[in-house]
Amino acid sequence: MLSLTSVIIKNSKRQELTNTNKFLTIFAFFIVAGFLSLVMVGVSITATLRLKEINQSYAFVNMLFLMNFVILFSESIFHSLNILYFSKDLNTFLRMPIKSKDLVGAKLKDMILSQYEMEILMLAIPTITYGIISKVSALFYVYLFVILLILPIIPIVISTLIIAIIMRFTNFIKNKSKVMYITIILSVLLLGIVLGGFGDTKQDFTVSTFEKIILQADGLANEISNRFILIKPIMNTLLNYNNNAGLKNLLIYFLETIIVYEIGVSIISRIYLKGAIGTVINGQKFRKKLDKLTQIDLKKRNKEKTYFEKELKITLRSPIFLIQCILMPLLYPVITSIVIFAILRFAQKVNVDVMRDILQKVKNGLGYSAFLAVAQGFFMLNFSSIIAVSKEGRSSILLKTFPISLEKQFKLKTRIGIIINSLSIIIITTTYYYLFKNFILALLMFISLELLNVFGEKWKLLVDLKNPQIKWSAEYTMMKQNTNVMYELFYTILVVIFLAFIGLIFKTVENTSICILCILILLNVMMDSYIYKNIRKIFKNLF
Amino acid sequence: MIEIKNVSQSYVKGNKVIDNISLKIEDGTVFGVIGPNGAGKTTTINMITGILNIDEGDIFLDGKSIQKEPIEAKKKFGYVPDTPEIFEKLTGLEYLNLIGDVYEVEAKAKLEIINNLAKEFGIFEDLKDRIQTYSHGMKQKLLIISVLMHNPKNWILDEPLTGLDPKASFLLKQLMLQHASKGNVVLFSTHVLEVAEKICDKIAVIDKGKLIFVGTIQELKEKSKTNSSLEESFLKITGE
Repeated sequence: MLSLTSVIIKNSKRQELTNTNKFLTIFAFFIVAGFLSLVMVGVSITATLRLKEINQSYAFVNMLFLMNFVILFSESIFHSLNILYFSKDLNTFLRMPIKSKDLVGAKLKDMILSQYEMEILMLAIPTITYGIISKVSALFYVYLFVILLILPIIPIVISTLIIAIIMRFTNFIKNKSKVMYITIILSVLLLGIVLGGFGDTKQDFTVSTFEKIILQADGLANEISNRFILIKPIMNTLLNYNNNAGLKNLLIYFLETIIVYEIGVSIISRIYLKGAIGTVINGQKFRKKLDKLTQIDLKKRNKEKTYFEKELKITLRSPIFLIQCILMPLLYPVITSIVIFAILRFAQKVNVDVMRDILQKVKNGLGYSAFLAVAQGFFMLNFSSIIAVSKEGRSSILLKTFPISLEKQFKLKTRIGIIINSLSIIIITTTYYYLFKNFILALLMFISLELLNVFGEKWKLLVDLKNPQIKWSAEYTMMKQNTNVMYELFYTILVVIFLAFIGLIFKTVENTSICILCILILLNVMMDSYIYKNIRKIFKNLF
Repeated sequence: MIEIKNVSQSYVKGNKVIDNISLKIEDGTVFGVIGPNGAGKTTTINMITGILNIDEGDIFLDGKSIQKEPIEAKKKFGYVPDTPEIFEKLTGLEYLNLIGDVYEVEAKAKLEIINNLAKEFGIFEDLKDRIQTYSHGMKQKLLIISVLMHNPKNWILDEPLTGLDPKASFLLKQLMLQHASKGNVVLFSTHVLEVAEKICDKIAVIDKGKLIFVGTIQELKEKSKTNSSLEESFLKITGE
């Protein structure tokens, strides 16, 4: 059982990197991890201190755990579907005399272990920062360590159980993409029911109840834990770490975890094999038979248009690519705008004039840069170009044999990313215009953002071509293990620093906007010239 | 015509995987490349098709250099890779349309090829399905049809018979012979020496990145001083 777990873990972590790429990846990892840790520390200090002013500092920890629990749940849906059902190693393991329970157990352990990296950044660092500010004793950290170890188990087991049930009853559909879409939609619905069922939503959340809650010490923290009783023991453990209630709640959560794990694994392993065998058999049950072909079906089209259509189809027809390359970069700016708008409306309701503060703070060069930095943050969430070659897997061998110049293919491969990012650009520019009513500045911002967009997408594709991840067995595994994605973060850090630097140096909006525009034009010219001169070298690592 | 002039290639500095190969494949020839595993057959084919950059030397397809005039050179050949990895999210028909458009093939010509070959290979009815649902052999057949779509003068096929059923394998061999008989070039690599023996006009034996023999099968037998099978001659010349 142990050796099976270690084989699965080693297999999932395996990466093919050259020594130079390994060094660069480690370097970029430390820079990115360091930067993100600093950001998390900064955010944690600000949030804790602000909440402390109204005696609600512990609410920060509760919000953190709630947010991470939801992220863990939703991520586990995808993860378990791919690890348990669409992983290439199933072809090997299903032929071996391995008990279903052992295989499920080993795969679950692999999933649990893979969550710890995210936990360190998203939970450990902010909670430790909170602990230092709140001057907690050593026992708080001991409890935190135990909680972090067992926290991913329940979300992973419950998500996997839901997936296993759905897969058991949809294994007549052999179309992998169709199964993925159906399973994900059903899982999200079931998850909503599961989480809703555990939540106490009898009490309505209005401005008056909010006022009542924040008047009590740690009232907000209690409110959150009361609403989400599944993770209430974790929240109460850390809140009451210095008395018996802390230990009692930790034991309750520990017991909850053991029960969920044992029952979960037992049920999953009973229904797992039928679903898994269904997915490894290729072919659709109901084929769309082609009867007749006409010249209309084969109408000659412009080769660049057809090439771009191929790019789009590959992205749209794979659930993970659709989410990471289209939906996330489209939804994120929209959702963020709605949330910010809702917060501003709420602030208006409770008579806090946040808008005036914001307008005063951003009416300078640094403010202008901040708008551009936010857009860059949205661009970062768009993975279209960083996987533009990798997403094609081994079939990318054909790209080099096409009689389409590599320069042209390079441009066509960045097109999806550039188009998708344009939504963020429109939102940011419109917001800027709405706030300052200055058409010229908004126009300058729009052009600068488009230039930043084009440059960034080309940079991402260069990263992908430097270290293409084409030997994948499943789309999800390629996305999950793709260390190139880290360079996107690294690049964003550099861009934000550059924008902040220009904003600070030039101080006024006018000077900052013109300077940024000039630099971006220059960078784009340099980038195009580099691509044109080195195109064969750029594509060299692709086979 | 395919001409390889003093070509060398190394993945790691100082360790040549292809060492100064020169070869001229005349029109009207079925030319087989044989050699042990890891000898450099696929590397050679990858250099001819522009997949790999060439360290030294040059390769010409009908007089067009793959390095200096890549677009023109790429229009001169059709290529089937050793593993039929095609854009799996596309349907078979979408893939054929993509290839047709990339090579600027008219609808009428596409229709003729697809109607004839897809039916002959038995995959016509499956063309509306996504390639991800195809078997290895079906993918191989689709690749072969796509290669023939723009009617290239030079066919370059890397292990083309792997995974094909007996009927498709027979059909492909017939097509290869017909294509060469019209004054074109068919260059293919294979492990199956019987196939090489049956259809090749000439063969090249590559071992450890070096070209150790070019000529007819009869010439190989004479050189290796055996009168029996190609297999025996091959083993003798490669020292295995």
